[in-house]
Amino acid sequence: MEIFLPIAHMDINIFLIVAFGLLVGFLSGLTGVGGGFLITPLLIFVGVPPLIAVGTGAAQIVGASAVGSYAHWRMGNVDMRMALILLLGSWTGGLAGVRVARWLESSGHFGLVVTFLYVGLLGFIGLSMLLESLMAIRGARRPPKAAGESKASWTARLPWPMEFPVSGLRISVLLPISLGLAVGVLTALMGVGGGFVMVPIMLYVLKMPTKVVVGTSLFQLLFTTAEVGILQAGMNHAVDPYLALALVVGSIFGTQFGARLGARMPGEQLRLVLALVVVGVAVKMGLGLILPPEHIFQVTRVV
Amino acid sequence: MRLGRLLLPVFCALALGVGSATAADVGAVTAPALVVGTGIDKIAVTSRFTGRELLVFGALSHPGAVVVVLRSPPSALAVTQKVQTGPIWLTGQKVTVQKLPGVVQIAASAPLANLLPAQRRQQLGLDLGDLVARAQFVPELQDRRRWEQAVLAAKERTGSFALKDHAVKISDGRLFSARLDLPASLPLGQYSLTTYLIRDGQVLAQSNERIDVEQVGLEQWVADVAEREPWLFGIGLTLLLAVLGLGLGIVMQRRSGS
Repeated sequence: MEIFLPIAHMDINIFLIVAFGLLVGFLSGLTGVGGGFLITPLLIFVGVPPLIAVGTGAAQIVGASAVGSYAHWRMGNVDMRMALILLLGSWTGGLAGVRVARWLESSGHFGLVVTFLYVGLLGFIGLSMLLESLMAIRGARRPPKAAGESKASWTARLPWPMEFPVSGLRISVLLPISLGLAVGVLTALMGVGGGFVMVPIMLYVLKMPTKVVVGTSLFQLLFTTAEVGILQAGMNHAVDPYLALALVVGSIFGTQFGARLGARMPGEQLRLVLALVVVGVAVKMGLGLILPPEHIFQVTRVV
Repeated sequence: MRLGRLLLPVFCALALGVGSATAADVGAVTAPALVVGTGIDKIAVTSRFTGRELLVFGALSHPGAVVVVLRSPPSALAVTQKVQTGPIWLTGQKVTVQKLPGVVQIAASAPLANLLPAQRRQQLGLDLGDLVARAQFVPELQDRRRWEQAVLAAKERTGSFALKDHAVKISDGRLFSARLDLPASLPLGQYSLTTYLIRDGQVLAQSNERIDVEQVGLEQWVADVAEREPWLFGIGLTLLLAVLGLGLGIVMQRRSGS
């Protein structure tokens, strides 16, 4: 069913968007890796302007992550003090990022910057997932984290230590604030939740317990994407309601199917599939930078 | 594909005597030389509006050629140029184009270039290239010609600008009907529909109608709020997404749990 998107100013088949939500939700449920970093490129591929793809991508994560955050909060898996300090950073980063996005858009470079960020980020994530899953399939155990000890020592020397009783940690408040800051900027510029950055850092640098990591990262991600969604709509007119609703509906159903199927399938092969999808998207975006554009001049309507 | 494509009948003979025609180049004309009745004066744009065909009918008192032009209010454009730097295509200069109608649809009963001299076509705003040349480019450009051509090409590609030389059919030398295609992305506001009766390179008569293009219903409300109260819209939509995600998610989990 073709509908006209009031913010993106284009017509699109809304069932295609629901299908994107289903597909990404399915992969996310199957593998346990959030799929925000696939939504924005898919929207860009079908012609949604990059800023609106990024703004809507962030907003739809609110819907996609709400139920997971709620469940982890109910189970007591959220380190609330840690989450609030992370949010202090990510809300600041989100605000700065949305302002940068606005400035880049007005100078006409936003689409290019987003493409570069995605090629770099998806290329990196995809390749490391590919290597990891190939090694796991061949039976090789990952070597235990070697740099852990030295990292613990430099993090211990930072000023303003703070107690985090739920995680059983005493670390400098600067660590979660700067982590939040980075994730907030990523959310604003790329339309991603940033779990793929936050989870490894929480595990290996902050050394939080695994159970708390998942709940806390989901909880802060929900409120970071909510802030960025509101800012992108308020400052940049960059959130399309129909796109966001269709994506949320698709991804909720997709996640459920994915999770049910994923419980019965070997994890390594699943991660290999996801890795190949991610690398494929990165290559497609990269080709967009190199191949001659169809039209040298790009004409868009100013709202 | 285009669900919204509907025929909009516009009356003709019944409208005789309405007196909407004005004698332009003809001296003393008692009966109107050209009558165009518009059965619609409003186009409702919903979210399912993906373009439509507009049918215009009319009657002529003198034989001649007919040109129909539909013009929308101005709508600003942003134009960027891609520049190859090494192996990578980067975004170069960005220019804003103002004072250019968003949509111009021209239909004629014969090739327009044969009907009117170039200067007259430009005066009447029937020369698409000239319309672009008269638009305002900010900032001013040195190689403006290339940018104008790019804008015109993009407008024609998306169907916003069109000149169709045989889209007006005249039957019995008295009645005419014209087909205009409206693209999905229509600027809102007051459109002007002008019909010219032309003979021997002269405009014998012209008739002006008005068509309002408006958003209606829930779509209008959503687009209005998003445009005028972007913060309220952002907060409301974010809450809605959270509630929808939470509600659907809980229902799905209950189902799979039981």
